[in-house]
Amino acid sequence: MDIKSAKYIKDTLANDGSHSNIRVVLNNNNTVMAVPINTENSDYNKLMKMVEDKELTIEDAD
Amino acid sequence: MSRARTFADLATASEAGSLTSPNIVINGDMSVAQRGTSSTSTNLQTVDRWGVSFGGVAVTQTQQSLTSGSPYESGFNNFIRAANTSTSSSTTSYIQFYQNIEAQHIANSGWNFKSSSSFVTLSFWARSSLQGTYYANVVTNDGTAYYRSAAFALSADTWTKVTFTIEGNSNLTINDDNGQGLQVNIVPHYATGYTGSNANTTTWYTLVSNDYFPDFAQSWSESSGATFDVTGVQLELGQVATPYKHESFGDNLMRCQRYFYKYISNNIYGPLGATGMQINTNSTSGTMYQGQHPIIMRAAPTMAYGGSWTGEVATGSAAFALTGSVRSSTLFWQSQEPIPSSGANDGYAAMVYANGDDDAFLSGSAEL
Repeated sequence: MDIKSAKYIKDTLANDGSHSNIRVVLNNNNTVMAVPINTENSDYNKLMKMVEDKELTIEDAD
Repeated sequence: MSRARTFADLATASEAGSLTSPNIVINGDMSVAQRGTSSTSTNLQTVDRWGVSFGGVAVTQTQQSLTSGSPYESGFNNFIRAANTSTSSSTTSYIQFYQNIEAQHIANSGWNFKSSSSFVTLSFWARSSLQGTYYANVVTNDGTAYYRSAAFALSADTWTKVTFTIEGNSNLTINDDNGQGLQVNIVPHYATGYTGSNANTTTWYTLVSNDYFPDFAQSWSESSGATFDVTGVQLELGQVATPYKHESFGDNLMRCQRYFYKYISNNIYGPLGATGMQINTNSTSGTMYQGQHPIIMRAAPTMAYGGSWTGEVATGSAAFALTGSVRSSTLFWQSQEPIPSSGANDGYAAMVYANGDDDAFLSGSAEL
């Protein structure tokens, strides 16, 4: 993933401060991804690996 | 092959159940390519379920039409191609075609993967512009990774049918779940940094000293303009490669969509097929849209969009851009979008359509 930005999105239905997804903007034609917070999702696992390897910082939610 | 040999093989295949077992590989005929037909990026970019992974070498991957030759005469109309656009002598260059297979599809295939007397057979058509000996393998993912590899020889620019029978092994672990169970790899090139004598073509082995394969005799990565083509990939129960189990494009597409789907507007005001409603309460103020995936997916997918979509509520409108909370399950997705600045009120119905963009898309990805 060629990532321009990544940011946690607050789950407004849950209303408990949890996150619903990570909003990722790619450099490739400004494609926008909404990655679920779910370890069965391979994109989520890739993002977490990039964070662990210090290749990516995910912004906090507003 | 004699007719007696053919009948004997068919009897063996029938006894093993492979005549009626499905192709465990999805989109083995390379006919579905929802993402596109050409890319210079690595991994899943063109043909569905098939990634082209590479490093230390520049590659263009494409879905191509087949109009002649042996696989065409066997009913195949498409293949996937990797073309080398660089000249690399790097000792860590590599390129492989791969498909990640869901574990429960192996666990429930009828293969007793713990038994050395139970088999699956991988078969495919391959063609390279560079004559040589190449490798294919399968790799387990649960527990310790085990590798089982086979070599195959190709003459330059000649389609060859490759068959590789794989026995079970008591050390293998493949869970009955929706995670990755087995990776199938067809490999044009691994440089010496990833090959060596710790790998073999006769038994299952674990990775030692990064020896994924025995050494390659030729160097595809140093041959600028080299191509490698694959189609007709089938993984089936038993020791015999039966004829490819062709399926309709629709059935094939539906199997692919368990892992990825892409809806394109195809009209400058094309509908997205999502319904919505404006909700003006404190924490959830927004226009809430919901849609359904075309099929139950492997896992909650990543939703993505590109191009320009408009969400319309009464006489007001706002961009649909996955800006707020997005939730996805294996069958549905939901997105909270901004409310229009005017022209709409609480409880009004909403709809989404392309904003003058016939290439706008929405996709869901639950790839392994």
